[in-house]
Amino acid sequence: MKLLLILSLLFSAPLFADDFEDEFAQAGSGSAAVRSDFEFFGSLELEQGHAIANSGALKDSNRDTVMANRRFKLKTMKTNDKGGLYAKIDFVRDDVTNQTFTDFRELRLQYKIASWMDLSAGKQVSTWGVGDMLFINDLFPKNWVANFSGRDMEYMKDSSTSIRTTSYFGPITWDVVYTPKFAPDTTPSGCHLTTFDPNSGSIITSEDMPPDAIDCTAENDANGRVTNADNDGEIATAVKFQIAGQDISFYGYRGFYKNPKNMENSTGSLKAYFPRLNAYGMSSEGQIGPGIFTFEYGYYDNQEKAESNPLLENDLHKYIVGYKMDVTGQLTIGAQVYGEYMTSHDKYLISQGGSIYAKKENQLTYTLRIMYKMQQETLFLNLFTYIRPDDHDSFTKIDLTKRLDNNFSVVVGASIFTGKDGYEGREFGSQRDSDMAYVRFKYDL
Amino acid sequence: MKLITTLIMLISLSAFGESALEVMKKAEKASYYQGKDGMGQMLMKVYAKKGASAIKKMFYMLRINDGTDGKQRFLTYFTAPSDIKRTTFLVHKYVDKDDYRRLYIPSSDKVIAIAGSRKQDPFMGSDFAYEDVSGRNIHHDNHKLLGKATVDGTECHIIESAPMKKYAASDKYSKIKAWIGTADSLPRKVEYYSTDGKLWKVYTSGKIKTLSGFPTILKRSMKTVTTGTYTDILVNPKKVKYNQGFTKDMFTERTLKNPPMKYLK
Repeated sequence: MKLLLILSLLFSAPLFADDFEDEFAQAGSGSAAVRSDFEFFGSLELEQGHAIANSGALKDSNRDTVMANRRFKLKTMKTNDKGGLYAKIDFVRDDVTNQTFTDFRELRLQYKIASWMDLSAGKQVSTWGVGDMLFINDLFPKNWVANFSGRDMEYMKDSSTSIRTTSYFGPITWDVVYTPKFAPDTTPSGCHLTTFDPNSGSIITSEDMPPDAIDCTAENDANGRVTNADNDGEIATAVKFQIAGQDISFYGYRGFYKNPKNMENSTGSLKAYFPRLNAYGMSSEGQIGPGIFTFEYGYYDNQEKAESNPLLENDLHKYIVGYKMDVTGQLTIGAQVYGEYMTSHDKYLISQGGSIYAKKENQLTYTLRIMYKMQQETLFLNLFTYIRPDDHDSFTKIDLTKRLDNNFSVVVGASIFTGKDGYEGREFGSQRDSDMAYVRFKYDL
Repeated sequence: MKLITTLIMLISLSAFGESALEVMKKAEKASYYQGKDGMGQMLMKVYAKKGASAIKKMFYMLRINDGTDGKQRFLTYFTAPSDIKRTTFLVHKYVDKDDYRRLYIPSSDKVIAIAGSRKQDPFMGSDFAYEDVSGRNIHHDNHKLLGKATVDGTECHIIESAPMKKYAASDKYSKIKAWIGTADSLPRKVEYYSTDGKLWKVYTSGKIKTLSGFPTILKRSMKTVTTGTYTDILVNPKKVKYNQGFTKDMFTERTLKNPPMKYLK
C-alpha cells in the first residue's frame, strides 16, 4: 500500500523534460493524479540530532541522540472554486522515543459558505501576530521541542482540531478560531531534550524519572497531552485591516496558558497545570523606511493570580517592537525587543517570599535574525538568537541549508543554549545541557 | 547662424529624445500592460553555470491593470517544487512609490509583509530582478535613440537609457541598452551596465508568438556576465490568456490564502 502511494507520488510529481513545450505539457495538467482532481505531493525526510555538550544532564543520561526521525510526508488537495479538501499527513518513525506515529498536520475542509465568509473545519495550523519567533496574541499551539531540536520551522506550529471562519467586510477581515479541546504547546519534558525538575531544583531527562511519571508520546503528540483543561476549549479572534500600507490587527482570546506552570496536586507530587487566561491585544506590520516595522501588544488577563498561588504570575503587559530589512539583495537582518511587564509586581514578590530568582517587573528579551542567501538562493545561512538578560539565559540556532537539486536538500546546524545557576527553571536555561548539532535530509516528491 | 544651428540641434535633440521615450512607452505597454488583464504559466530555470542542471520553479502569474497611472496588481501562485507548492505572492505595483508586497506561506498559514522598495533584488534567486518581471519605471530614466539594427532578422530600435540624476544613486545600473522590435515593440536584447560602467547582465528574448492578438514572449533569458549564471523563464503558450475579466478583489489577502483555482489548473 505504501509502495503504491510512493509510486503515485512519483508519477504525480511534476516531470520536467528539456524541450519546454513538453515540460509544460507534462508538468501542467497532464499527470494522472491531477486529472482525477486530487493532487498528491510530499517528501521523505531524515532528521538527526546529537548532543554536543561534554557534561550535563544529557551526558549523564548517556543520551547522545536527541532527534532521530524518519518522516514520510504526504500532501494532497482537491479544490474547486468554492473551497477544497486539504490533507498533510506525516508518517513518522522516532528512534528516540521508539515510536511510530501519524501526525495529521492538516486534514480540513474549506468552504465558501457565503460570498463574504470562508469556513475551515478540521485539523489545521493557525497563526497570526507579527513577532518573529515570539508570540503574544498568537495563542495557537507551538512546538518548542521542534524549535529547539532543529526541525524544519514548519513544525514550530502544531496543528489543532478547530473550526475557523474568516469573514470579509470590504477591507476588514475577521477571523474566529474555535478549538473545542484545549491544545497546549509541546514543551520539553525530558524525552528528547532536558527539563527542569522543581523538586530537586535541577535539570533532568526522562531517564532520571520513574517510568510511570512521564509520558514521552506527548512530545510527539501535543493533542494527546493530558491537561487540566481537557474538558474546556479555546476561542481566538482577530480583526485585520490596513491603514496607509500597515496591516493593523486587534485580537482577543479566551483559554489557557499554553505553557504549563508546575503546581502541586492533591497527592503532593508536582503536576503540569495550565492556568486560565484571557488575552487582548493589537499589532501593526508594514513597511516603514527601507524595512518592515512590527509592533505587537497584548494584555494577559490572568484568571488565576500569584496572590492565590505562588507558582502563578500576575497580569502581564506584553509587547514586541521589531524591525527587519534587506541590507543587500542577499543579506536580511532583523532585531526585536520583547518585554513582559507584570502588574502588581510587589504582590507577586511577596508571593515569591522575596526569592532572588523571582521575575523582574519588566522582563526583556532581545532577538536577532541574520539570513544570508547565496548561490542563487540555493544556499542559505540562517541565525536566530534569543537573549534574555533578566532570565540569564539565551538560545541560538544557526544553520546552513543547501538545495542540491530539484528534489534534494540538506540542512546542517546547531542549537546552543546558555543558562545561569539558580535560573535552571527558565525556558532556555532548562536546556543549557542540551547543546546539539543536527542534520536534515529532505527529498521532495 | 550659429544660434540657428544650435536651436535646430536642440529641437531635433528634444524631438529625438521624445521619440525615444515614445518607443519606451510602447515597449512598456507591449511587455507589461497588454489587455485589461492577463495570465500565464511560467517555468523558471536557474542555472549556476553553463551545462549545470537547472533549479526549477513553476508558477502561475495573474495580472490586472489598475487604472491609467501604471498601477497593477499581480498574484503569483507556485506549483513546483512541492516544498513551495501553494505559496502565493501578492504585489500591488505602484509607479511612484514602493510596491505593496505580501507573501503567503501555507505550511504555517502565515502572511508576511515584504518590503517593496528593493525592486532590483533578484526575483526568487534568479538572474532576473523584480523590476525585470513587473517593469521598470521608464520615467526615472533618460532615453536616447541610437538608431536601428537587426537582431535575428527583426528590425529594432536601439535605445540607451540611463537613470536620471536624482535616481542614479539608488540604481544598480548606470546604463541600459535595449534593442526593441520596431513592429511589435517587444525587446529582443537588453544589456545592463553596472555603476562602474561594465556590462553586467544580458537579456534575450526567445520565441515570440501572437496569442489572442497580443505578441507574447515565450522565452526570456537573463545571463549575468560577471558570474556566468543564467536564468530562463519559459511561458506555456497554452496557458496564456488575456482579458479574462479579472477583478481587483482577486488580488487581495483573501485570494492570497484562497487563490482562484479555476485559473490555476
